[in-house]
Amino acid sequence: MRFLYQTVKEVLASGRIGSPVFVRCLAQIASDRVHLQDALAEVLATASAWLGAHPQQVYAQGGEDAGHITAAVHYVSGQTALVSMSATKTDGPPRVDLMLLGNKGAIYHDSLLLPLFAMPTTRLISQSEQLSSTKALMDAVERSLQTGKSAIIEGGKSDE
Amino acid sequence: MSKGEKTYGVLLATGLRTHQENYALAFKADPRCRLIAVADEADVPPRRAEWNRKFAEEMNLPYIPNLDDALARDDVDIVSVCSEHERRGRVAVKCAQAGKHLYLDKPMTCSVADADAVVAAVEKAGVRSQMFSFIHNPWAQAAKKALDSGAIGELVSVHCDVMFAKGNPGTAPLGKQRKQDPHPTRFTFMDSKRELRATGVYAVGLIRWLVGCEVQTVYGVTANYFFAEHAKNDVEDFGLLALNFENNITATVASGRIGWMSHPQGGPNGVYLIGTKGTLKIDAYQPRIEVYADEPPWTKPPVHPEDPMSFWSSTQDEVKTQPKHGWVVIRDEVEPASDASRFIDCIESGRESEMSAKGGAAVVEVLMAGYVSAAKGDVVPLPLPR
Repeated sequence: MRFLYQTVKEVLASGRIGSPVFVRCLAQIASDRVHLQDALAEVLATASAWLGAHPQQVYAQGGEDAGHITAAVHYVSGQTALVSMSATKTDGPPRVDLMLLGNKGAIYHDSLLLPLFAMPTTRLISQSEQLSSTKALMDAVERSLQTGKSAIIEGGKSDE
Repeated sequence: MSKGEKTYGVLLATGLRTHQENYALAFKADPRCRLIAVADEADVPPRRAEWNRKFAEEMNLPYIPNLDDALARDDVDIVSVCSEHERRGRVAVKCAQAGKHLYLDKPMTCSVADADAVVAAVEKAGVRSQMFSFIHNPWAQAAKKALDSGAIGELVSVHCDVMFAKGNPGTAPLGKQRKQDPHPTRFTFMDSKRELRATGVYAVGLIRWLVGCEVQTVYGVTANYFFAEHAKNDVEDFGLLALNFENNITATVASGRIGWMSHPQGGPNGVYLIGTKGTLKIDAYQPRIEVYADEPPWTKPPVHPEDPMSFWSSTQDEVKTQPKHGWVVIRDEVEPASDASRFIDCIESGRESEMSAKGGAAVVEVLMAGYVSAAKGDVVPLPLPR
């Protein structure tokens, strides 16, 4: 995933697809290895880093018990992300299906990743540009899951 | 009445520069159908009347400028209704009241009130109805079959992408959130569509059909990411939905128009099923072969001045739009039955379409709730207030 993260970053930096506006990432993980919420936090941090934006609002569905967590994130500067983590069967392969839309192009990636790179590790989040906002975002995810409503992300409120 | 015993007379309500260009050909290709005429309301604008006449000429059909006269004909059994969004509900009600079966362009109407009126008219008249959708596409049928097989256990969640790779993007002003009107009333523009409706309708219809029950809550976001035309008209070119169904199944939708060069084929179209025993991805372009050859690369067509987003088949033909050849989808049927033919099957067998006016109305309600949600930034419960 770090390789994927970096490769996408490099394509974005090249400007080939214009400004990134939307990330859709659907991932399956072995839930006996990683908690869905932890995995969600990692991918949301990655998405925010790709978008280069601060999350403002999130609406989350599912939960650890449901076997999936899905978060729809709206960023202060208009971008959106949709990230869904689901648990595979115990021996099922992990999978990441990514679509990243720029305003002039798109990036697609769908693969069964080698276990080593199946999911971002905590190293990614600690090195991410989005550390603080990811914690606030995950707090908001938790609130949204509890209330069934969207949740404003602390520090992400637009001044418009 | 059995197959082959009757030829169904099909009236085309509204012509060129609508999806009628495609639907008319689908009905014409079905040996059980006979096209009768093109017709429209008597007071349509001159440009609309001109397009209707031109379409009638191209199809070698008469043009009946007063819809009432056309509906009075005994040889009309079905009306294919493609009138502009704002008058589609009114036209559909009139056709149902005349006792004609309804084949409806999508979305069925642009308000919940109009959708309710169509459903009421259909039920009162006892006619059959169907809104055009993706549910009869081979990939949608494959998703349904896989779900019904139990391969992934009980369905837990669904995601659906429906995006069209058309138009020349990169012109929308970026950097701020879209301010959504909760109750939009204008839907017809030469150069843009409200894409949450126009493309999201396919995803919502497909998901509702797969899930098999009604939506309870809707969360929506709309955005302007790609096209100055959409931004200028204050209509979204991208929409996101998150739905909760009555049976606790959740669903998400990504919909929009993303630009010619942003996909190797027609745009991301697919569904992801998350079940208690596993997950499954059904892609509209899988299985496929990929072809690379020493031939000129595909290039996007020139902009048609009256259809810059390439909405219609006729205008795409006029600018000589070429199909993308790189991906060739493998099908187990040479020629799957069209959505229109599936509707004829329903009429012949006397059964309700799986995307009847009632289903179309439910989809309309979800989409309109999406706008309310996008405006207020929170979840909207269904049903919407009447």
